[in-house]
Amino acid sequence: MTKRTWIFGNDYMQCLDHQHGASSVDIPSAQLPDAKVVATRKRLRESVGNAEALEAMREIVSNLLGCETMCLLQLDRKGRVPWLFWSFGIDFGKHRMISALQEPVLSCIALGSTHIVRDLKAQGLKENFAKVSVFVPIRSNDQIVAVLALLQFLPQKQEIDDVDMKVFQVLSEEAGSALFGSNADAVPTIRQKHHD
Amino acid sequence: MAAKKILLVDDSKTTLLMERSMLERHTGYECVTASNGLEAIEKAQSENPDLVLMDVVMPQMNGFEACKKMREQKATREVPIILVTTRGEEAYMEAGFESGCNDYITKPINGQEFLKLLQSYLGE
Repeated sequence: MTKRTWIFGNDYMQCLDHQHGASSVDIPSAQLPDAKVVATRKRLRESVGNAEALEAMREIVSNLLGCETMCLLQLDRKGRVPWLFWSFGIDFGKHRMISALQEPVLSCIALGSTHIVRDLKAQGLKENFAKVSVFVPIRSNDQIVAVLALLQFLPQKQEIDDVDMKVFQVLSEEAGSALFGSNADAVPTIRQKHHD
Repeated sequence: MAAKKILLVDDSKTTLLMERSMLERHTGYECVTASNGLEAIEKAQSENPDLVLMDVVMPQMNGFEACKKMREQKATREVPIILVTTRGEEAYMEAGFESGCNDYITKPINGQEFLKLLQSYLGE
């Protein structure tokens, strides 16, 4: 059997053509991304309970968006002060970055939509942590109740594309209900999960 | 002619949903699923797939081990196996090819490139 290695990226199509000749596949690229959007919506809607919703969100961010370092900051009822609700892939004690997230989180809330931040390091982090970070407002009952922060993308994830933006939108619309149900205003027990 | 069958193996429900949605919407391939390496070996024996698309990091048995086992068994020795993982490090890729996979691709998947790759193995 022929063994080949392809990492999806700019060189991929050349590699494919070299191995197999011109491909006969002709699918409009605009139709393909729907699968990620469909899977995101379905997975969140099928999640039962807070724990499964968090796992669904982690899977979506990791597998569909290419980011394994993330946290969810919930907002308090009045002051809109973000506090850590859950995290994955982050040692906050080590990075001491929660304060550095305050500004982009508040910007995301003010913007009311997905907020992309270039070079979070330049905004106060000492660690070389993220070239691109994404902050997604999580809504429930038409209010922003939390912000999902995607802090470090995988090396092979080179850009945020249109499909990603659609997935962010679905996360924004659907994750709040999946995570908090109708009790989005209630302050839940602190949940933190650290994985290095 | 019977539809070509793909065995999708991943412990992530999200990934299985996405792959299945993509394949059912844009191809005529039949999909069967497994959620870990052990189940994948069983399904590969019972379902006789034309191609296996398998995650690496999974509970009970990872994708490398499952790939090796499939290569040891007569029924699955020649079945194309594509490993799909978030891990793009060279050491992981080498381990993947040592385990006997045909291809090793990284998540997140690009839909069009993904379908072209599958069709390069399976045809229309």
